[in-house]
Amino acid sequence: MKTTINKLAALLFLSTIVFTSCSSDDDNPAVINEEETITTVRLTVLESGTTAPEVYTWTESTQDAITLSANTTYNFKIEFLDESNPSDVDNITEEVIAEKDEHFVFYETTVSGLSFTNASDDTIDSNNIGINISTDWSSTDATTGIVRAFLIHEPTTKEGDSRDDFGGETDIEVSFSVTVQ
Amino acid sequence: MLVFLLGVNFLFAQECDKTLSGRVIDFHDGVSLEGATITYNSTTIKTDSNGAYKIIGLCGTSYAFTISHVDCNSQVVTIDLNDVSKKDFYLEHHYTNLEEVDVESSAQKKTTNSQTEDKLNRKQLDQYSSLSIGDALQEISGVNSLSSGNTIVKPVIQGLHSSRIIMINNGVRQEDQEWGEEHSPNLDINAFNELKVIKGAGALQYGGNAIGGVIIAENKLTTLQDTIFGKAQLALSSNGRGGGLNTALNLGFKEGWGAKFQGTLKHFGDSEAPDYILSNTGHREQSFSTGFGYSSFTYGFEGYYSFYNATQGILRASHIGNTGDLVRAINSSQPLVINDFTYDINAPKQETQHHLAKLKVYNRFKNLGRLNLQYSFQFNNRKEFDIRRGDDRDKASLDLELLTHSLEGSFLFDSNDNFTKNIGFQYSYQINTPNPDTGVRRLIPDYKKTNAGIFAITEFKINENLIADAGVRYDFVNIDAKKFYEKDVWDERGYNTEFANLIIEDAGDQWLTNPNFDYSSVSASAGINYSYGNQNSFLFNASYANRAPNPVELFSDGLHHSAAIIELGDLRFDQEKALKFSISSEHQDVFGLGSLTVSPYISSINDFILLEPTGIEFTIRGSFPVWEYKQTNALLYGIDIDYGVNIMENLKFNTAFSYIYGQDTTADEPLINMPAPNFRSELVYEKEKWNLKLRNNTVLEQTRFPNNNFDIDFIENGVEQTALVDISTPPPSYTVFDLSGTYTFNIWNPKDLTLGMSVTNIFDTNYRDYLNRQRYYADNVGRNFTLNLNFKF
Repeated sequence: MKTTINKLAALLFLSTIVFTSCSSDDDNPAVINEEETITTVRLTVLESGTTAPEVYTWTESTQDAITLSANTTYNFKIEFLDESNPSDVDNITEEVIAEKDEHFVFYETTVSGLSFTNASDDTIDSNNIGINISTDWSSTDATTGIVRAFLIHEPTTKEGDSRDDFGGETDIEVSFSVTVQ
Repeated sequence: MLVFLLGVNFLFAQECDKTLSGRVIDFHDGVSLEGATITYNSTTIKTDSNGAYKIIGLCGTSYAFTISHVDCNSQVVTIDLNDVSKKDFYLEHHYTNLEEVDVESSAQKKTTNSQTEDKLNRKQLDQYSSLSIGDALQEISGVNSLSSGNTIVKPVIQGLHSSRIIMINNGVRQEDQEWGEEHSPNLDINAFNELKVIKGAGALQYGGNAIGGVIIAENKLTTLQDTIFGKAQLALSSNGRGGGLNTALNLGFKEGWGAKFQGTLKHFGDSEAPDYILSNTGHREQSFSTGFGYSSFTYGFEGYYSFYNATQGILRASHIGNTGDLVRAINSSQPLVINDFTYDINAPKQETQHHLAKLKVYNRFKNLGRLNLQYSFQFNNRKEFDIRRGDDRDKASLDLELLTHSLEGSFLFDSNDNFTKNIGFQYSYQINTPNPDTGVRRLIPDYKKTNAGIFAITEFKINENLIADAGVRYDFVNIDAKKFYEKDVWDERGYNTEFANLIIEDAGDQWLTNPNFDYSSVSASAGINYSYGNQNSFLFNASYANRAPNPVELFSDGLHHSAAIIELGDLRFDQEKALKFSISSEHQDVFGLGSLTVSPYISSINDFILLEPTGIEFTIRGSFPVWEYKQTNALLYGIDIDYGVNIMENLKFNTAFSYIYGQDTTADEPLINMPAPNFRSELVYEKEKWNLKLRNNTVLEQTRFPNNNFDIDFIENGVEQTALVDISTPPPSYTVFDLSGTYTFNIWNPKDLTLGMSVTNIFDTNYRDYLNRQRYYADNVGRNFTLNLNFKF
């Protein structure tokens, strides 16, 4: 029996060595560039009655300040981009529109007198609610403040006046400083 | 016929003048056995005080001698008197003390001499058959649980958990990504007959880094008796509208062979808090284990395989995008997502699988002791699913494969009962492979980990009442990782100056690095066990242990989605160094007023690794608190008290209390997530076939906690405001009552069917627990009725 034990023990040692040596390849793991990353929020702002829009972007390194005229109406179009690979920019807005029932864009602002509504060319979800990809804004008096844009994933409702009303997870939350002059 | 004739002929030809002499000796310790009997034909003789015997007048042929001694298995030996005149017989004297042989006696035995230990037997575990090991272990004073909802439950021993605890799964150290706070042990509670908790690092045979303690889950083979037995158990619960089914079959043969099979199925839908459905908290589990082996006194082997497969839903409302969402969740009195009851499990969820295979052999050597050798193989796969968008919707966000080979051996010198020694080694090689197809940067990098340890433990009887023990262990750990760092994080952490040599590849905006770190550590333990009077004992133990940092502590470098915090590890970490003193004073009968065990302890841990908030980072997803792993010094002390008394003949009262004080002595503030003082009491009525139990669990409010609150900006009515986010204050105290009853029937065999009914959280109390990571989002589960059928055959 002792020899059997010895044989078994030898087998155990051997198997470990085999396993160990089999797996000792030195291949480097593949790099992962996250695909779902949103690096940039882009607002394309068109003053009504004009044709040349202003473009404002928000990235973690630079944030454009928005300038609006008093008592004017504008159309805001929001876009979400993945520019982590500059040679292959991904427009995530298309995914958001494709999954329009699960997404909702909302803005909050501290700029007094500034307000927004759905634009006529907004994306409409299957419950006939515009998801605020395209919005119309109107300004009143000259002032300063911020506009905070949210992209909400799976909101519990799409009806409300403040971010708190919608629930869901915040995919995007960025603030633009705004001057109305 | 021919043989017989030859034999007769042979007999006639011989003179019957042969003698046989020798001694009968205890195989185990070499002691001569007095009064052993040797029987041949119809003659019986006994050994003298030296264990010696002499048989005269034997013929020159073969005889079958039966050698027996009280408490020993008889042995039959055939000897040809033509060849042999002297023969020593070895009997297996301490048969019942040997753990390989007898299930019952080993269950009574402590694993360590001087450490505070507690255990749960099969009968206690039966009540938890549809729950988890973490739930069951809370029965033990000083053991709490850190949970993520009601199904992901991991044990906390005297304030410490995760990598600071070792779990032994049928003799194999469980390797299942145990570092994560939201990772529960990947093992099925029904696979075991016994759970044992050693509250400290002193059990050095299992590992040197168990600064929190060791949990031993065991299920031994039954051999050396011809038997077939098993059970089938069904538990149906109202809360979760599901149940568990488990069955076990054990086979044993007198010759030493044994086999077992066990399987479990669990299927639950959403659990319910008193006021709402806890959406997406269903779970499934399919597990089985099988083993076979042979054991005799001198040698044996065992093969074992177990498989665990579970899917656990995570409360939908706990999945948040940023701190703004967290604040909304905290401020809301109920979860922000409540759907109708369903059995479906959607993201967020975890899918875990664990395979374990082992082969163990032992051989006992005359007058020396026992050699054990064991090889084990484990494969763990953990998939965590977050709520994702587009093509990635059904992809896991985390997909880790952990492969572990272990080889271990030990030699137990137990020939002298008064002075046993156990020496051994453990070697393990581990490969962690995160699947790159997740499309999410790896939380845990690819790494290979080698662990080699050697230990020596001794136990010596100083006198009849006093047993001392001492042990020492050395471990070497190497982690060889391939980790991608974002270049800006690499620089921010200051790694560019200190660890520039680790960079092996430039991958765009990331560096591929090759951290390769060695850790060597020494652990030691010593203590005494003094027994006196009428079943009183006093235990004292001092232990010192090191723990090498785990992969999250070293390598974390990004957003931890489920917690909505940015977690940063540190490559510079050194090992934790823990010194612990524990005392246990155990009394079976204190002045006729019942049994009492008082176990205080104090532990000082240098370079204790903890996560602490260091700031706020603004990202495109909003703001996130940044938590960094830090090394600090910690002091923990506490006490566990167990008291039991028979109030009347059939009525017993048991209560357990535990208190822990945990302090970060460097920052001079309390440690986070220390269990609050708690009482666990029960009134048990047991008569004939009835067993009724009223239980109360009272957890006081934890008043000692670090302040990790932070400010957040939000816009309200067109004005930007700042609010304090209180993530620190523990929930208030709570008390929960459970009632359970069982009745045992005799169908075919005595006590073969037990019918049980239980109600947990009788009063449907709303409460939240400090150690539940989902306390920000929802109440704990409400009332639950469970019907339990347990049939033994």
